[in-house]
Amino acid sequence: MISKESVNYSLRNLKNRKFRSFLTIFSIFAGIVTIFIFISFGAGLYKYVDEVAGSSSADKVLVMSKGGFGGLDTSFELTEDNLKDFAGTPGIYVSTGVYFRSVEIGFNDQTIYSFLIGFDPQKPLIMEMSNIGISKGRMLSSGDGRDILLGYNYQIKDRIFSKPIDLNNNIEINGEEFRVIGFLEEVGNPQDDSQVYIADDAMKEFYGDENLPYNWIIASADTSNMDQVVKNAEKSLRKSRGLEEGKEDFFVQSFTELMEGYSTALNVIVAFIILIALISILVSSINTANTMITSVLERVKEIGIIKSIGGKNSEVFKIFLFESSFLGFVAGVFGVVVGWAVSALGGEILNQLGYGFLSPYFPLELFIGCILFAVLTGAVSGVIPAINATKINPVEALRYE
Amino acid sequence: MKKRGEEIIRLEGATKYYHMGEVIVKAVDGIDISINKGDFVAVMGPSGSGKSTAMNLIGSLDMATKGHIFLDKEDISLLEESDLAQVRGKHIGFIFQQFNLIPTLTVKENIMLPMTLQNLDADEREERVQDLMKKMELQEREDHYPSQISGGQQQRVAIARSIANDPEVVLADEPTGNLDTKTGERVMDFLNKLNKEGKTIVMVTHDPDLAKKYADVVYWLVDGKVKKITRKKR
Amino acid sequence: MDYFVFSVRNLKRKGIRSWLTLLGILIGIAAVVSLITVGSGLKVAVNSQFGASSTEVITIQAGGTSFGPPGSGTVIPLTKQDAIAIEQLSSVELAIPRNIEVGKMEYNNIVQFGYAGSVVDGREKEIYELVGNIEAEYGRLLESGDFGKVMLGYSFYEGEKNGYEKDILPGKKVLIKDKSFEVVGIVKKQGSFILDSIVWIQDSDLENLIGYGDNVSLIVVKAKNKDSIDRAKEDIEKLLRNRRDVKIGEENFEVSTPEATLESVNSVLNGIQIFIIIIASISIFIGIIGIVNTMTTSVLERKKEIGIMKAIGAKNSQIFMQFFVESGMLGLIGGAIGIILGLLLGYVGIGAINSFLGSETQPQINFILILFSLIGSFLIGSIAGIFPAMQAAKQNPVEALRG
Repeated sequence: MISKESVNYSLRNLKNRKFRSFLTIFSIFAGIVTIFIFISFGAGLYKYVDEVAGSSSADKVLVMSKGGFGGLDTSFELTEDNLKDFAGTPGIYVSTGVYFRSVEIGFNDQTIYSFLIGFDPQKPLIMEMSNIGISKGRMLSSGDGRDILLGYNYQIKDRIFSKPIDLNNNIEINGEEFRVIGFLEEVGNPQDDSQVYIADDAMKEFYGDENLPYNWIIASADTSNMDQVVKNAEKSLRKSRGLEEGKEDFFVQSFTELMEGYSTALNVIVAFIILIALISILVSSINTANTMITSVLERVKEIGIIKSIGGKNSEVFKIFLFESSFLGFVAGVFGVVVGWAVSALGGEILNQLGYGFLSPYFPLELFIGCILFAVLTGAVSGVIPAINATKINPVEALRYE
Repeated sequence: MKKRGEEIIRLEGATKYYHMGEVIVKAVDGIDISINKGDFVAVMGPSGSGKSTAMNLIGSLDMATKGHIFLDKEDISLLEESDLAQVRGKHIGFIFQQFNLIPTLTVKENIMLPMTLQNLDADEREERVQDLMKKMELQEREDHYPSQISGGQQQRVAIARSIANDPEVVLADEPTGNLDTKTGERVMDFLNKLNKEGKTIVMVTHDPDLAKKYADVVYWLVDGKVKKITRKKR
Repeated sequence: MDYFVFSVRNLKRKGIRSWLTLLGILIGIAAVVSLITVGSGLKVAVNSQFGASSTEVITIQAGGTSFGPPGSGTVIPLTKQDAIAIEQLSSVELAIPRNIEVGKMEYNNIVQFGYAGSVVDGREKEIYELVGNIEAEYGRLLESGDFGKVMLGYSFYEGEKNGYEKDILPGKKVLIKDKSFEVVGIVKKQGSFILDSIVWIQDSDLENLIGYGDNVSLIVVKAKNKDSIDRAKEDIEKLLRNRRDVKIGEENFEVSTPEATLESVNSVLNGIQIFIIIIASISIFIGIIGIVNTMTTSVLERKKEIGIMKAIGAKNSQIFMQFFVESGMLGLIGGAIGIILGLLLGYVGIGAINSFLGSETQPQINFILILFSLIGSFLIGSIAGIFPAMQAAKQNPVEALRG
């Protein structure tokens, strides 16, 4: 049993060796702050991915080209017939075709390049899938003609154009004028927040093709049976395009599948960074072990006295183990507090820069976990010195100068 | 170079206080000591009389709280620490009751240490150390570490070290305190020999027989003050 | 005073505690050195992905969203006519248009998607020279008049790695967008992920498959000589501005010299590298704390020794130097071992990158890195020891002797 007296004794010892205790605490502290910061950002990323894949995207299915990066194969065409055949698949509820083109966007004598997305305002599945709504102005409607919806960043000075755009301003897409009728909510990454949206009929008119082929298809489907539905959809589309199995030029994926792909990549990156942060913890443990060894050596005589008046080995062991664990505990508490402050500050700065998706997240488990980890580090580092302390022969110890 | 008989060490009203927690202890309280070149001086007194403190003041190991300490007519109480180090290194040799050799250095290296600290030329050092080891009969123990030799041998190393830079004064604080009688006598013989060669020896001891046998002058200290001075007729 | 010899002896005396302190610095330095080595190797490997093109080559692309290879995401493409006009410039020796398109290729009943790059009939040799060391590993190079034929990048050769489960050899036929083409040869390995997976095809064949008309994905230009590169760049920009009717500062095209492309890639890589190294450096920092700790303990343990030294004439500065150097030695020895370990780890890391990217980067021993790391380790150790060394020097000899 760890008695109150032995706890007091340990604490007083740590207080006496203030400087050295401080150094040890500082080592573990530095390691914990590092780990805390990275895990909080990692957790933030996972949370973001989860949020994006929120309830309104769980039932979504996407069809994209196989070739090219991210569906940017300009020779890949989905026709109205393809769409109809796809829509007829059992398990597919609502489906709609989406246009996706690179365009030149001009405002106030500046030009940038971004993506123009055309969708059917009566079937705004793409909005549901990305889980975003309107932050200012209004949503598109059919028959809007040259009205356009902009991503969030266009409203902010210097994020895209040096001058912020406001409702009813005109901007140029590939040299032709469009009127801004709304802005989307912030997604949190610069790519999505700079996209531009028009109604599908406007898109057809703009590109001068009544039968403008789609680039993507988005649909909502039966979630209870998603895998089967995806398979069925592949079959329908294959037939519609006259392709053999295994030779598709398209992907059919549920949105969750897509997100899982990102998560895997995320896992690798986060794991790598945390691995490096763990090196710091390793060095902290070494420092702690060193301190504890020194502590034992300095108190050989004391240990001899304790033993000669009846202290058991287990008692000696517990005293030293408690000391190193306590050092870890103090380090852990300071570590999570400072780590939290730094992460929060960093997250705020990133947010201001438009990278809101990188915001850190602070689950309670993170705080508790880091503190426990710190205690564990202290304990593990102190085990061997504690064992050495128990092995001290009282007679020799009392003679020790 | 002082001639035999001229004053070489002088303590004038030397006082040393130090703090033990809340209490102020007067280790020595206004003592006057005068030592001539070539003297063999013994400083005696009961425990707590301040004899070791007096020795530390003479040896510039400690600074006086009040009063003056003159070494060769120079007031060392006014010197900076780096100059004091020089004094200790070149003009004074110390021998301690607990030998105080450096445990990680060999016998030879221990003896050489004062010379190394004064940045003496390597050849010079080598020559001198061989000389000293021969004198103190330590040649077979040249490469041994202090833990590997007897107490008597350790003290002989300490003596050799104390005269490594040929200082004028040798201070010995209870040099035979940790030795058995026979070994102690041998050590005292060495000290006596040094004195005959012209070195001023100041020895702290609590053994009156020792003082009677070897010392020319004996200072008796009680409670930090000089109680009595006795001189032997030559 | 032989501070160094005494330092080593003193460090040995404390056995495991010296080792543990060393270990701390060792790990930190090993981490940083290995990350720098891998980082440099990564930069070289990534840079090599862009081919071994000669430094006189200029690339021109039309403006657009920059996802994917040149030509994808452009709004107003460049044209064959642009290339002809550019070749007329006096500062330009050649200007050849190229198209890079996504396509489907079928072999052994398996379909995969990838990229094809066009060659202009009659100008194959010029293109091969400009792009890199395009030579045939198996079979022969695609030549003038090779219609209905293709040449494949090295990664198409081995069945186990090309995704088609069967080796593709010269003489075999592949289906590109459902049309049959004969493979005339496999290109020598370029060490670039991109170049090794390209299908080389005649421009007229590719145009039949895709239908891009006169549009081109990029124009490769060779300046008359190394010195006229900048002038050539200016001339081309002026010409295209004219042809595309845009003002200065509003160009909807990009004329890049190879350095420019690499510059932007490298600045990203540098940024990442610095970030990761900062994280690894935290462990060095913690290692320093370890040295401070050990040296402080050392001073306390050797209080009596310090007293003795002072008694026999050691100056404060000499005491200080002894501990200062000892501390530096801890750093130096730990650093030296750490550097060796770090380099080893770095080589392993580069090996991994090579197998992942298909590159063949040789690990380089960066002597400057090693030198700086050694000096740095000694300095780190010494600085860590300043405070304890000062403590040592300040000791009052009498109290110190009392133990």
